[in-house]
Amino acid sequence: MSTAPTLHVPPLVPGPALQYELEQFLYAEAALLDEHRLEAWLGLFTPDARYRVPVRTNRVTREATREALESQDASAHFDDDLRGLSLRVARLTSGLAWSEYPLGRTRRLVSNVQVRALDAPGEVEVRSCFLLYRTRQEHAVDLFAGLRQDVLRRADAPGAWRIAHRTVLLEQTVILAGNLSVFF
Amino acid sequence: MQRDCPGPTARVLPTRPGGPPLDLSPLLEERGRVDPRIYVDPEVYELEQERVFGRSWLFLAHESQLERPGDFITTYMGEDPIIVSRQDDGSVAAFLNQCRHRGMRLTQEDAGHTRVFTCTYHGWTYDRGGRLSSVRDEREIYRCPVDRDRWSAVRVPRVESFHGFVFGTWDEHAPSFRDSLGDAAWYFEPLLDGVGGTEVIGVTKWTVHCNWKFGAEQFASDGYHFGMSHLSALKALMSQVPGAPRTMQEATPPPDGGRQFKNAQGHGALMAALPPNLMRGARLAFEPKANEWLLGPRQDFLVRKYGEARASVFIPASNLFPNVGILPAANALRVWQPKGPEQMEVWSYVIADADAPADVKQAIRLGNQRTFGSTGIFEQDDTHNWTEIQRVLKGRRARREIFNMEMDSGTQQDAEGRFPGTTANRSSSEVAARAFYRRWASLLSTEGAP
Repeated sequence: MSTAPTLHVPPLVPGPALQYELEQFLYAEAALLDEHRLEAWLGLFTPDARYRVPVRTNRVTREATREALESQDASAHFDDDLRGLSLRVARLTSGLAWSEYPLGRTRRLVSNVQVRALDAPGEVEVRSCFLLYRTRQEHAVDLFAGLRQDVLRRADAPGAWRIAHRTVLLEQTVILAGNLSVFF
Repeated sequence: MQRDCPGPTARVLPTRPGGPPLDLSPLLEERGRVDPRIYVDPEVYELEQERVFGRSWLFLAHESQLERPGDFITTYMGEDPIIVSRQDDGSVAAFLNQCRHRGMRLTQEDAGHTRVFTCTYHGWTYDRGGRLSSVRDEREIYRCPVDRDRWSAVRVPRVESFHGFVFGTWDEHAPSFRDSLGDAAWYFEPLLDGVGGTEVIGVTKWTVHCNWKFGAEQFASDGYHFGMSHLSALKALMSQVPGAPRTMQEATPPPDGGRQFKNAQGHGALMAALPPNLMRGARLAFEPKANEWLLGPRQDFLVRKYGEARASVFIPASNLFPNVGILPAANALRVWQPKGPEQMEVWSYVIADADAPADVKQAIRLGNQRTFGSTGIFEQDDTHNWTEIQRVLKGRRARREIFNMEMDSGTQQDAEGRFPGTTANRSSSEVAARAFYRRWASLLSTEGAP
């Protein structure tokens, strides 16, 4: 008789208080983006930050795991350090970025937050799922769903966190929106 | 200058919606008027699938995507799904991604490695070259053997590799790929060659809700849009990047600067339309290693192989007829894949010299992604403009008013003989756009090929 597979639930480390704190951080971050406060959002990243959104591809099942664990230099929609993100924000806030003119309206739903402690002191790995609804102009609608794997680092101020590393797995191979002028 | 100016625009096109067929003669005569129904009309679209995509050389794959026998990628020729596959003898074959029994796709992967392609509907199996190799329960069900030759996948009859870039055409009588370039080969060949050859180091695909010709026409001919469409990227670069232009005037191409190439085969290229320090500045913003390589070892290679004149032409954008955009400024080759009259997908391939060190390739990939990738600081404004034009053309009146494509009617030979073929002496010109549409209209109005 076979044993049923056990569902692995990461332990809450180090407890509900931290879980709550990190969830609130992610919600606050989503609000900054939805409110187009991009320069404030940029301030959430550490100086050595990396922000990646790799390209997904359709592969046979036996190659699917390989695809999901793509190497760090694989094709990406975004692969930015802080300077790269700053340049994108400078463009979007120039008042001349036609793809966001008039500004798109977005709402980010963040859920399935799972926290894991890391060896480095003050660092945690946080996985979260998101659904990003965007509408532009009269009736253009884009939906993006995905998984984010973040390494968050404690900042000096109490309760403050910084994003040191973010990988976003978007669930689209061909991007169905006309442009990716949004951050995830 | 006045001598070349066209007179008042006469209404020469039909105005009744759903009325008489489109009059393509204004395009053929290069008068510079475009009936916007060519971007929306389903009949025009069907006709161009057959007569333009059915007869032209189309980009299929780069050889570096097919390293070993059995490696394959899937792509499209027009809207026809295609498998491109490395054969046991090292050659590259292309065939319709369609089972001959009921028409199911033979593979749904973007890429992979396989010995056979098995249809998931009834189990017919095809080998790496598209030949029907087995029919499930053939003896028990069909009784007579199924004719393997008759029912093999449909092969693309002509496939040629040009410096590792594999093109195919359905037209068995088409000139060779190189001949199809005509004098555009002088411009395109150094772009498609590389140190140790070239390789694809990334593929990204995105949807644009517009007709594929907007992309093709712009890359062939439009230096004019840069100083308006891309203001946000210019401004961001100026504020953030050491080495980038410091004033808007410095960043914006002069309207009378550069040149523009066109030919009868419909190819077009912009030359030195942008201040060279702009794209270099853009790359410098992120990865100086890319610039060091491109201006150093790559440039040396091109000068040695093609001479100073060909190596030193700065080509920010160009279009290989019909639907291959070459964007040397971002190390990109892209295909405008038609998906119905009002939609396309941009398939963007990042190209690097095969012999470039790994860190240089990475720098080139990042430079591409941040300028003209799916999230590129330049890319987004183009797709925005194109989708809005397409939306405007939903209007009955909007789609019957002809577009003005009359800019700079003068073309000439370069007085110093530096540039072969016919060129305009400014990059802000529409001569190559008119040549693109002339070739398109000429194919559209003649029957032939498959």
